[in-house]
Amino acid sequence: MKLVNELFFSLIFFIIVSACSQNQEMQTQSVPIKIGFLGPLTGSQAVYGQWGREGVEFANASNIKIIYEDSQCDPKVGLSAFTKLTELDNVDGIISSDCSSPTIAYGTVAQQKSIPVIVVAANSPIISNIGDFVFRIRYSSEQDGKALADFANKQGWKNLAILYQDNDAGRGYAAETKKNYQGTIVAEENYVLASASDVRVQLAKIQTRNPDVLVVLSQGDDGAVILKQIKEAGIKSPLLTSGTAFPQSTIAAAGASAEGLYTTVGMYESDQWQKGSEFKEKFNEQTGKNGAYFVALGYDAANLFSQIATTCGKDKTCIRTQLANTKLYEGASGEITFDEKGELITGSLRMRQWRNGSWNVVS
Amino acid sequence: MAFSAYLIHLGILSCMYVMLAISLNLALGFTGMLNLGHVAFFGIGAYITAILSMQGLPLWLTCILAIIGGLIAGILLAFPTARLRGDYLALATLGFTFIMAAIARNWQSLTRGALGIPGIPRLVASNEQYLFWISLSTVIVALLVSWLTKSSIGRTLQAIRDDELGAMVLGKNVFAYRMLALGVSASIAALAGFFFAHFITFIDPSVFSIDDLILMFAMVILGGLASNKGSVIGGVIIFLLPEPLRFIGFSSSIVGPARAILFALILIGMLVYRPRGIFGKVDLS
Amino acid sequence: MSSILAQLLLNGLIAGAIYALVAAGFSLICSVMKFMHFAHGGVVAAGAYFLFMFSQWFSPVPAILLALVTTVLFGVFMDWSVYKQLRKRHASNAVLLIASIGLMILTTNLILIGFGADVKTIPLAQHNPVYTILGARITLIQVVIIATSALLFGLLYYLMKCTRLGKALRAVADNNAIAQTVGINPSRMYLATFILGSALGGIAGMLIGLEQNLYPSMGLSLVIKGFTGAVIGGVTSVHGSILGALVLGMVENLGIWYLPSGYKDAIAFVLLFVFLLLKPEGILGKRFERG
Repeated sequence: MKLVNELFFSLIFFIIVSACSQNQEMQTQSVPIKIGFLGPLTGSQAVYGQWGREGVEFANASNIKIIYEDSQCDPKVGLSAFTKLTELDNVDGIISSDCSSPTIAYGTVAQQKSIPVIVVAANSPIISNIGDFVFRIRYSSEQDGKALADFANKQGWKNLAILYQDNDAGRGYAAETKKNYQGTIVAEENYVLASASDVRVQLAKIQTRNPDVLVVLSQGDDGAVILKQIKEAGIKSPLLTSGTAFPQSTIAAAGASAEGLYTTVGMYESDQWQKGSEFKEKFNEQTGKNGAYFVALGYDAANLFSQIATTCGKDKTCIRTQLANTKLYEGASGEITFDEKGELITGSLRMRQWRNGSWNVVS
Repeated sequence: MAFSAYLIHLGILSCMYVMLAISLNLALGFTGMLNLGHVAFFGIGAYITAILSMQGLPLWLTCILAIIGGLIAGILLAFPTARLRGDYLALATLGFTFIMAAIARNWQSLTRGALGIPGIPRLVASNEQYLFWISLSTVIVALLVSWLTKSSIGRTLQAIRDDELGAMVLGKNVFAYRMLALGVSASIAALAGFFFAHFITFIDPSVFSIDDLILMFAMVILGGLASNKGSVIGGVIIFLLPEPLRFIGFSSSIVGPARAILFALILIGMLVYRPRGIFGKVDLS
Repeated sequence: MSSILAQLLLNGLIAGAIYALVAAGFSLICSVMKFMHFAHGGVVAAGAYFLFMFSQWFSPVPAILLALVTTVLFGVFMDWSVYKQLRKRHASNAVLLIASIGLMILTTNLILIGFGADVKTIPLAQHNPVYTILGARITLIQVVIIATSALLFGLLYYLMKCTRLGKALRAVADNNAIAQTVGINPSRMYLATFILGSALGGIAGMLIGLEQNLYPSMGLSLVIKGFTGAVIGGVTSVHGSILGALVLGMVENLGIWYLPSGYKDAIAFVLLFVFLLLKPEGILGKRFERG
């Protein structure tokens, strides 16, 4: 019965630990405000974590200390990392440049513990409803999907086909596009990431319906291979996609296959935003890289926390109130104002087209 | 606050993994079934819990139904795979895992597909209480499995593992015993899924991920086949091992792959140098 | 409609040829060594990434040759460092299978650390013209893939049936103990198997890398499809597994013509499951038991 003994000892250990945990509240005012950063720094979605991280590092906000943890795009790992950040490092806020599932998992706990979270990357509509401590500073997939449908309506395209990646973001885009489109949806196909290397049958199915326009919604870098297969299949109808779903690296990897592609574009990418253009120039100068939208968002998130920290200190409720009251904050990514659900209020998105190696704004 | 709260969090997850390791060892170590479908039972338990508790069913009822659901899934898998052994059983059970993941992804009216199910109620409000309940359950599970494996049933299971023909000659119903082992193993995995769903409060088809399967195998192999004590120790060690990596100043973009490499190396190293693990009694046949 | 059917069959053929390239090496190793070498997927991914790496420094031909040699060395190193040690201890094939899954995960994560998570493209094939056959469209690289697979499979057939090495390999595959009594050294045959199998895997990886993009977990997705095809055709028969992989490619592509596209992977695994239950030896193979 040795096993029983050992189990009881470990149980007793856990009980003692849980009993001890009620007391000892340490608060040291002298240390700077600490902010935790969570995102996939490894794995297939790592690019979203890396972008956010580059932006946060570039912000160089001296009054806040950033602690980075890897969520691996996994809710269990993300929640463990979140617990480490909030319990051991005592962070006063979280920047999440993360996938939706871990963001939902730790966002819910952050709400219960009253820890403000700025969501940089995650796309899921579920995040809007977590609560008043969670803010999102990117434009959402809903705004993207609506802009795509509006553009198709305005162009008078009567038959629309959709190809999307079967994940939360892909479904979000597709649902919103379908809701706002006034013509007929003639085909709706999807694919999962693991088999993204082959969407030829989906394309053949789409082709038989002769759509006037094809909306392609991928996420991550699989977009390049899909664009290539669309061209190879000989689909001639115009292609629409979301600007955040097809970052510049995807366009570059797709090469000639990206010719003629329309994407949505916010103020930042279309260079209509003075601060954004300045940021891009400075970022490129110092790092030699192109500042993607998510880099600017990471930069803004860090700066927002840094600015609020000067008035609030470590008071988390104050930080939340200040975030909620943010009005027309001139960030690198655009003007930031939150609605009552903590979502970014944006003007309507524009459309641009990739022609001969450069973007042309078309609406 | 502080360090103990982090330990409690790790304690909860390690209890979950210990349950998974103990139950995998029942099928893999004691009965000799190379079952790669364990993560599917875990996912089934988590989905049953999530779907039913969103319908407002009381927690004790979803717990029982998740366990029953796991049991049924285990028995259902035992039927078609009755004739398969070794590699073929491994492939069939791996296929079962993939099929379950595809169902979770595509049966959208039930599972919401890739969007996942958010807002699953928590079992209890505080993590301290949560740790109490999950460690209590883990102790019960460990006692139950340890009793089962020492009983005449357990001896028969091990006899089947060591010499199936011999057990048959002695008039043992090999199929029934294997079905029992897989059913019990699956229902414990489903119970772990129940705790997972109520802890993370959100699930999506990624619960069927192969990565967790590797983790469970590493736990059982490290601890030792056919040793319940080994499952407990293996589960705790493998789960906690990468945590210190957070504190010794590795860049966080190295820690992720380093974790996975560490598990893989432990798994391979144990197989090569110490195939019976820490407490194992038998070789994997 | 006929051009659609032609396109679907051609798509099935392309997908099937890719799966077959992976399945051939997998089942060659399985037939001689009697275990499931899941880490073959890692060898395939290594082939693609080595080509990516060398093509940045060298012109195409030396890059391809270097990539092939390093991939073979990588595969042989896996055998020497892990499988050979396990064989020495007479470990069961369940142990070898779990070790191979461990090696697969190890390779994926080494690629992650070495090359990063972002998707890579091999810059060798910028110009990729499209041809039309019977109303179906096919690109140059796809023609190369199908032609190379056909050529490789022909060579493999010749090697296995008509050369002394092939006969010795088949003798070890059929009955290791008897092969030893007639003077065949099994450890040399195992080495030859790993060289051949890894070379096949490397070529598969390079061709797939040219056709698709590179990402660290590509090996796992490919080996899953590869072994599914191999099991359908008969995992102990190289020809059977090639046939099985082609069947898998066709069934997947024709299947989601009728079903929603989300079920694509499910089709493959249901097929795998059905074959394992009803005909575990596959279309052409025999059941295997180890030594």
